[in-house]
Amino acid sequence: MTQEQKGKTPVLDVQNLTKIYDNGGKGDGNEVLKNVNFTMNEGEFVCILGPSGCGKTTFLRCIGGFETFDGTVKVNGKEVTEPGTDRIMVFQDFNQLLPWKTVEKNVQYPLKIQGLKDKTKLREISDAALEKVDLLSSRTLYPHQLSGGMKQRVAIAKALALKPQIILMDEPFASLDAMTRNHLQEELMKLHQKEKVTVIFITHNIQEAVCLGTRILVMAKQGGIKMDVPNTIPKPVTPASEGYGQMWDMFNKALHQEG
Amino acid sequence: MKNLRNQIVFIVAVLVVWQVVYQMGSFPELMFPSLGKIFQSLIKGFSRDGLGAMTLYSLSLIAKGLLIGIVLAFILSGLSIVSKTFYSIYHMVVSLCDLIPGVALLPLAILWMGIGEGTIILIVVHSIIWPMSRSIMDGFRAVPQIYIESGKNMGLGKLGLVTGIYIPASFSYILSGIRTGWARAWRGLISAEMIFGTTSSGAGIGWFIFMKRTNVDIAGVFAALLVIIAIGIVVEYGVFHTIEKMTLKKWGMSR
Repeated sequence: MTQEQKGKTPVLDVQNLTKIYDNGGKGDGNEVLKNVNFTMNEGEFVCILGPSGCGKTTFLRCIGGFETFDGTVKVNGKEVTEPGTDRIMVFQDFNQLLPWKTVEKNVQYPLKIQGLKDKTKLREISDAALEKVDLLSSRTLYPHQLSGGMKQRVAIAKALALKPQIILMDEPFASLDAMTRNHLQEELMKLHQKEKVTVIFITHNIQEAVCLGTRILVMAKQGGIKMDVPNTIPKPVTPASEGYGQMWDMFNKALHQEG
Repeated sequence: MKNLRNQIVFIVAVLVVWQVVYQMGSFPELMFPSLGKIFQSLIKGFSRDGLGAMTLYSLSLIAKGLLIGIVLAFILSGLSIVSKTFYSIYHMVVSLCDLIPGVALLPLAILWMGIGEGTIILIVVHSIIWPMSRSIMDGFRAVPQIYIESGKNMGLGKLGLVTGIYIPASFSYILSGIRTGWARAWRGLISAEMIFGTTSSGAGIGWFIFMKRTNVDIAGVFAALLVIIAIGIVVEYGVFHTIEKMTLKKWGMSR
């Protein structure tokens, strides 16, 4: 595939995605996602906003291959049936790192599983990834010796090291204090601009979505996409940026209006 | 260090009480020997009655049985992750077999395998495989979903998940399973040895106890018990605590 074509083919192509959680045979089951269509190009940073229980996490988990669903999800034209290293999840839970491995080994482990055995090469990759999140000096620590924010940064480094097609982030900063959160948002935004990674980022925080996203989606309670707008405010976005207020207002209304 | 001091104080207190009770003379000496007598028996046991060799023989049987039992428990519990059908059957088998005391199987084992090392090892394996499997399977069930999903996301297959995620993530359960298994193994072994005595290849510490009882040498019985206790302390503090320090404590998975 040439560079030009690659830019045109969507990295992610979701068609008629429907997800029903069954109620153990009782009743019709709970329809969380209904005929969702969505495509995404390389290098986009899509933020998904939505009220609790609207199915945004389920949407992400379907793309990740962690759920069974109806419809099709294709990554670079390849249909998703199970989890894989082309789509790396970063969870909200701080405990997503393996506690029995050091920071560095946590980053290297998935690469080892992929068959990379060369120790110098592994070290090179993990050093580079940890450098990007400013944690190189903590590489020999165990996860329990890190703060919540540091753990999330390691999880991001782990994802970067794998060079996935898409990084799927499920409210990774939601459990952090406001200061750490702002700091990590800024770092993530810079990383996105520098590394040109493709990211889907779930949040219920409008400020976060406007700061990070190049495109913002709002999901409805019924499990569909009710708004899909490009974020035209130039980065870095602050509350003082032109258009911030209008955008914040628009999403706030969309989130609070029924349906 | 404070723990160690308290523990030593406790042991000394028990010994003092023991000696005081003995001095009061309210029990016949045959039933309640003095500390000095027990100590003499211990020395005599090692120097004249072959207690050292018997202990080593018992330990060698335990080691073989533990090894076989642990490996089998890991394989069978691992399979229970891979296959749900296997899990439901194996879970039932464990529940049933765990109820049967090793000694109760002895008549059958002797009938099938004769009197020999194999029979004792069979009893030892039986004593540990079921409680260990139970611990391992409980541990596997308690592994947080997020580790399993992370593992799948990194591209681990079913076997890779067992060795790369399930086993390290449930290590505290596994360690407590091995502890239980080790204690049960001793019980199984000593009972078997006491019931049929020597095998063609050697006699163990259970046989020593049995002989001392037959000869009404109660101090000798206590001496053998002391040996068992001493081994237990070495294994608990020398082996298990060290493993804990090197793994669970280092990983922040236990306090």
